Amino acid sequence: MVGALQVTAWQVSSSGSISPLGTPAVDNTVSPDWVSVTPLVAGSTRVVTAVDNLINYELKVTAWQVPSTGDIKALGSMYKPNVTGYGSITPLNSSQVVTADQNENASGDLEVISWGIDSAGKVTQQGMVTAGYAWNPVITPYFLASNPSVVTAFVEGSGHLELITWGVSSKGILTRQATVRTGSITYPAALAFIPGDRLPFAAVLGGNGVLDVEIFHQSGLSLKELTSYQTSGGYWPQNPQGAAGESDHRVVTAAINPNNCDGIGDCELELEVWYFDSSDYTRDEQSAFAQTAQSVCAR
Amino acid sequence: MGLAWASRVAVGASLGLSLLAIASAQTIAPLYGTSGGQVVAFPDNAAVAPLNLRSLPGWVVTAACTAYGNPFGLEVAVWEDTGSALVQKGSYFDSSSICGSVSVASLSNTSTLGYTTIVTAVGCLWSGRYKSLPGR
Repeated sequence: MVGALQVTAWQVSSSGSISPLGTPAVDNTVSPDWVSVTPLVAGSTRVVTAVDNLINYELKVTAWQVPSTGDIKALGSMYKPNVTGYGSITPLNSSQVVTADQNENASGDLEVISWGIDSAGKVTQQGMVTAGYAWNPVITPYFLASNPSVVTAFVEGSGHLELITWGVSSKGILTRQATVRTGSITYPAALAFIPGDRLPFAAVLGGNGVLDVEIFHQSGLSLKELTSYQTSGGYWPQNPQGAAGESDHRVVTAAINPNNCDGIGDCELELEVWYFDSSDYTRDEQSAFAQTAQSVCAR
Repeated sequence: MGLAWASRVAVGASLGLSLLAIASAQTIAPLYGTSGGQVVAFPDNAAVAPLNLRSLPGWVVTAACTAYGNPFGLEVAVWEDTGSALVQKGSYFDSSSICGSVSVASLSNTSTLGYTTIVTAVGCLWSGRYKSLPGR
């Protein structure tokens, strides 16, 4: 199927209602299998998209201007050939973003690429590093002291979750820092950064088919898993794709719960707030599952 | 019907811990979430982004694959994290012909303090009516 990329601006009112703003921008030159969008920096009126183009098996990175009218305009773009599989994009600063993708070559290597975005929105490829086989790589910023870094998470060749942290210079030079490999997983990986704790957070479908969330910490060139939590009760989230660092100690995951389906393919989106307890006191889970009525996409 | 999240968090600490034991007490656990909620038909395209409630009104941007004639649509929703629950504040269904992956990004200044607003973007096979489902 030949598709296109659609980029849409939405306005969220003070009351929390949401509605489209302006006319969406459409890029008909690509037929994406995956899309990823990020603001250039927090509060920016620019976003950058990364998509794989199924037509030519290439990665396309595009900078977009989002005016107050919502009429989004493409500023500049650049291609990187020989890309397949899943990938994602993360901001680094006001003039750089970093993407992670899987190379089309037989080894399916991880590619981490830094991109420069100038004041006019022109996109240039700065640096690129590769690692071993990486299925479904995701990427998030990871700031160690004053050094801008990113962390990638993916399923490595033997089916384990692997995280690698990378330093990124102002010229886009990428330097591998630390690596950790954890247990077997069947589906990676939502990755986020807990702002207050400055820790990367991964949500994956574990090898036993349950949602597994893991928190990591880097000290020097040592990256290790601090703690993890596995849900129980046969919850097979088909896609723990969404994760966001929310505030101090908290992250949010979004996943599909196929246990709660109606038999004809409609399943529920599950949101979950997670609390990272770094203290030394004993606490129980706060099972505050109160929830108001929600809208659904339904027949 | 809710998720079968573990009802308690395994904790390994007590008073008078050693440094090693303190380190091992770090835990990650679910606090609260949604269930009986938003139904989506295509389970391969959920995305979530944080917003700072204090920054509202705000903007978000979605990126999605579209293909003419595809029956999928895009539903975006805004959730407030009250600190004890996720409460949906608004949603909008875009009947564009979404064909696969979706992604969402906030253009608002996020904060590391306080509770936030969360925005989700999901693909839905069907547009049409909305209904309410009981929470858990």
